[in-house]
Amino acid sequence: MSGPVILSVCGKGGVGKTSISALLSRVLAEDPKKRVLAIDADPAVGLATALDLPVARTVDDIRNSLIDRLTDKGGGGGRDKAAVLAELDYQLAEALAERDNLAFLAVGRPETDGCYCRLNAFLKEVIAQTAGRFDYVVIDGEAGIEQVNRRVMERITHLLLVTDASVKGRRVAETIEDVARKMTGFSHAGLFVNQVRDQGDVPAVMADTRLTVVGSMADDPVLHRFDREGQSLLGLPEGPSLDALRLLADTFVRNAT
Amino acid sequence: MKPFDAIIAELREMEKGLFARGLARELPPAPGPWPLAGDRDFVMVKDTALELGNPRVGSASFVLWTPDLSLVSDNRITLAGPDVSEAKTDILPLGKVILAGVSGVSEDKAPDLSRDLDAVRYGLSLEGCMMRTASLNMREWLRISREARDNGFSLAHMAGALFTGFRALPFVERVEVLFVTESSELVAKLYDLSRKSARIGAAMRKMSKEMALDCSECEYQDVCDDVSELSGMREKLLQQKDENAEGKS
Repeated sequence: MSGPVILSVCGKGGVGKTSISALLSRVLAEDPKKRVLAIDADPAVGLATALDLPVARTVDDIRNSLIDRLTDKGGGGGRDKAAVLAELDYQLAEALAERDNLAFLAVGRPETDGCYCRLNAFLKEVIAQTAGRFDYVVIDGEAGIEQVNRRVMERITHLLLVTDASVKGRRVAETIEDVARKMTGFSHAGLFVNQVRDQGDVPAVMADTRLTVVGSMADDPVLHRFDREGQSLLGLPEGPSLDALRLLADTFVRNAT
Repeated sequence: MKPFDAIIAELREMEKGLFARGLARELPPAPGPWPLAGDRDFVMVKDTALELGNPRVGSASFVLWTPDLSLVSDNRITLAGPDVSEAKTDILPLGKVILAGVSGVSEDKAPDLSRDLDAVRYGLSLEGCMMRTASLNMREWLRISREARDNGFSLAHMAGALFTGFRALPFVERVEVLFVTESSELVAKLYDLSRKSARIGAAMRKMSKEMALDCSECEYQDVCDDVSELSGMREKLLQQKDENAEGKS
């Protein structure tokens, strides 16, 4: 494998993206020889709870702390690119939370453009560099399609579109795929049907979408309970949800690389 | 131009005290170069044998240069505290000072010189040794992997890589490195010196990029008052500015 698999989990709100991101990160990290980086690109930072990893600092915090310091008054005026990149790399390493071979980074609020564009461009470079040090990168995105405009999405290799059985869910997934195809260079895209409650759900989705269905997961009351109680999905007991994600990891992530 | 010589003198005093107390020693050079890591130099916590300069325990890392070559003992590696294989804990503070003896550097090139020297340490990437340098804070954080430690990685390997990198710069004549891993208190003293050097560096950068060169409102006026060399640099830049203006008219 020449570079990391960078997988973005997208879809409309409420379809279970964060749970799928957490469980996928968990099953990919079951191979102790592989390094997994989970990136929470949702400002609500739900993935941190799902993975029970602390958020000491977000990428947004780093950006804000540097905006003032990269001035003459802040002592960092006139710093060249190498110096700024080194500083960002240090701060990003500090912001990473780790458990075994799973690391976690929270993006926080979306970047602001304008006069900070140089800093944003450097951040993008350092995040890409950091991602390159892992075997798998799983990005839990915001709801909707706004996220595909974000720089952190630019290097994705795999687009995992999540839907429930609703028409709206798959239309949002198709729109995201359309936008992402124009803006990112992903090589694999697939639709994952979540919260399946009826045997007819998956065939119905398949019959009404141009996207390739790469997996499905039944509505899981245990998962609901974990979600409701804010429990880490790293502790989710063996069952159909983990089986579904292991199958997805094998067929969509590992075999597709 | 010798903007850092006063700090070097303070550093030597501190070093003398460390030797006198039996805390410092000279390290022999590493038997050979350590393999380079490339871009994938990330060492995860689970693979880490020793962390040096973790933000929780403190660090200080900076470069001081001087055209007075007599102030730099070429190839000397000084260590105050345990080396990688001698550490009794898995986390230690880190002080790292690189001294470079330079030649042929005029006042107007001083900011470029500092930048080029810093770039060498930012770019260093050794296998099993994750190095992160906070350029604004003068901090440095190393993680040494179990594999690297078991294969004999020493701070002398890092010094060797730094010597090689610095010598590749045409104006560097001599290089010396001081490491401190003994205690957070000692590293904090080094950090005080690093802040002084950072202020001098910031003043030089500001001078070099600013056209007005008006001292009355400059936040680094105190630095220039302390370091007379900077006034010389300012005079030279003003002279250049005048020459450029005359050339254009």
